[in-house]
Amino acid sequence: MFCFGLFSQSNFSFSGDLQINGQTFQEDLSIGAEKREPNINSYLNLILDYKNYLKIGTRLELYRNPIPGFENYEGEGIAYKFVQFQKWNFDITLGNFYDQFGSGVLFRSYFDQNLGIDNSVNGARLKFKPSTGIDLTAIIGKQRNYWELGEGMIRGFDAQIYVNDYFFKKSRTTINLGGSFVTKKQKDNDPFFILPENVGAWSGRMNISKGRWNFESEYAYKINDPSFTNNYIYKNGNSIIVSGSYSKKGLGLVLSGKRVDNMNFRSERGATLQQLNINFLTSLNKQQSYSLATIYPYVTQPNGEIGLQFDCFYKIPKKSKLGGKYGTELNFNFSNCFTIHKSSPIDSELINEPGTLGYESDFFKIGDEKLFQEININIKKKINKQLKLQTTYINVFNNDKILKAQKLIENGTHEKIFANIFIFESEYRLKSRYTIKSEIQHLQTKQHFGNWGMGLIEANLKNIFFSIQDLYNYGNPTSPTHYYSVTTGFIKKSHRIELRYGKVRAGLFCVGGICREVPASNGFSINITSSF
Amino acid sequence: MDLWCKNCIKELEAISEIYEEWQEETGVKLIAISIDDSRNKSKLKPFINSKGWEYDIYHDPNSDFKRALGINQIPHTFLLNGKNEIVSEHIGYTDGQEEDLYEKIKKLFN
Repeated sequence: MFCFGLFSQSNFSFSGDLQINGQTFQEDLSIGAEKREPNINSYLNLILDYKNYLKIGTRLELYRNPIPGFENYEGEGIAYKFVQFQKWNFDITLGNFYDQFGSGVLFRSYFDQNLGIDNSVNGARLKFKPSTGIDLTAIIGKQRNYWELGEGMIRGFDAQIYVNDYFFKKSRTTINLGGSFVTKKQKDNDPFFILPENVGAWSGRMNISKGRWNFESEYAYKINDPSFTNNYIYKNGNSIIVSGSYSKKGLGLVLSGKRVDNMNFRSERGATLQQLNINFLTSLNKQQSYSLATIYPYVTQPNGEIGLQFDCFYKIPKKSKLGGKYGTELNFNFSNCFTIHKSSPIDSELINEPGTLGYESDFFKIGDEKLFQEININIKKKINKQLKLQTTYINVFNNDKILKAQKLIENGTHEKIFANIFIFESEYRLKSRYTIKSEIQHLQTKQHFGNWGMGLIEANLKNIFFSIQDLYNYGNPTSPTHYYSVTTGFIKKSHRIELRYGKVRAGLFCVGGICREVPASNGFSINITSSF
Repeated sequence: MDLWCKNCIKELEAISEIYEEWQEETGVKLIAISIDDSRNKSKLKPFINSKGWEYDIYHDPNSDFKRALGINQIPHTFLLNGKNEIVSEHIGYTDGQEEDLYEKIKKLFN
């Protein structure tokens, strides 16, 4: 279908990437794993570029027996295709596109195959730079919903201004300002309520930095948007996020706070879970990669949350007493989140009743429930040319009553979870490109499944990798279980293949506060990726 | 790169230790592009400064650039010659891989 020989190399270029994931599921009563048909998730992206100003792209996708929650993906087809033209100060895209306004609080469309998220907009986008320092974007379209499009029509406009291109040109203070306006339109067929067909939202943002200091903030406001996810209340929505940082060589400090009030924004009122989100609400907590640290994740609460996060990155200098020959890194992170204050509105005695204003909320007051808190302390040290060590301590509080992060054990209930996690990681270099890594983790808790222990050994031998790991829930009051797995794979240039066999615990897989449920499984999996 | 991608950080750290020599010998320039989404955006600069890295760092918050290049796995490293043509690329990182990369850089320089 694609014949390179016909095109002259200097004008046309062709690129793409491929991903194939396959998994088998055998029955395993000890972990609650069901037998399922083998599952395949795959896609192939193809982009043809002409002289850097015309681009045509498409993605072919194929799904067989998707895991529960993603059944609507079953099948194959093309749900992403576009033509893009870039010349002078214009950039026009027709078809499907991804984009983000500011931090995404009003609009973010993106593709995350692991989460099963693809809310691309199918329509048109125009980007225009009337002069240096001003970027304008206008969009219109409907969002992808599995193999169809959502009912709602989205229209949006965003402006980003780099003030220093006009004022304070010689100043050492950089100022960026931005604003957006996004609306969605959906017919009202509701037999009970008069629902607004047009819902508009606007936001303003700014970023100021000078030398070692940086300050940024974004505020968003949405008019009434009664939907399934907010129980059909007529309250408006708003959110604010504020962040300040100080950094210099060897030290970085960041403090951020946010408050979200009724900011679920979807292009269909009845949409649930991860369907048809127009916006993306930043979650303010550390992205974890160690396996036991991902057991009790935070799940973003678009209906109301308020919290803060603090980070300190410090490197004790090389050759100092405490730092040692190579320096030592100390990293500290703290984050927490609460519900927002809610009291009965003027048109009802109850809170969150459908058809009413929902609630009133005092902006600075914290609600009744603490949702989440995490303290992370991490120390990294290179001992010598062969050995690197890392130690991490995490103290986590997760209000599973509200966040519902975990599957339950038999006769168990969602409860407030307090856990302490210790992690020790070492990496030993045998010679160039040959390393052995090991990890030991321990999670202590009196709630839910009790304590976990984990061990991992991984060998990287040039282009081949191999690892064995076991997560052992020895503290489980009903059935202590081993979740062992063996992985091997090969990397060459920009191609990678990985094979795994073993057990996966039921839980949540999260990226940025957006989570999907992973069922318990026991079987083989294969993962192939390639860029070309 | 991405703040929670361990191999990305390892690769950038390993190169930072010998970056000055590389630059003196060949004039090579390293540009790091972060695909962290908005949650990590405010942490990027403080994190990188704390490490003392001297690279040019750009931020691709919605992975537009990543998609345009057909990138799938990170770290994904590209080596470009003086004419901005991609001469080689690799994904992933194992300790010592920067030495192989430097051999290729030296070849281009000569």
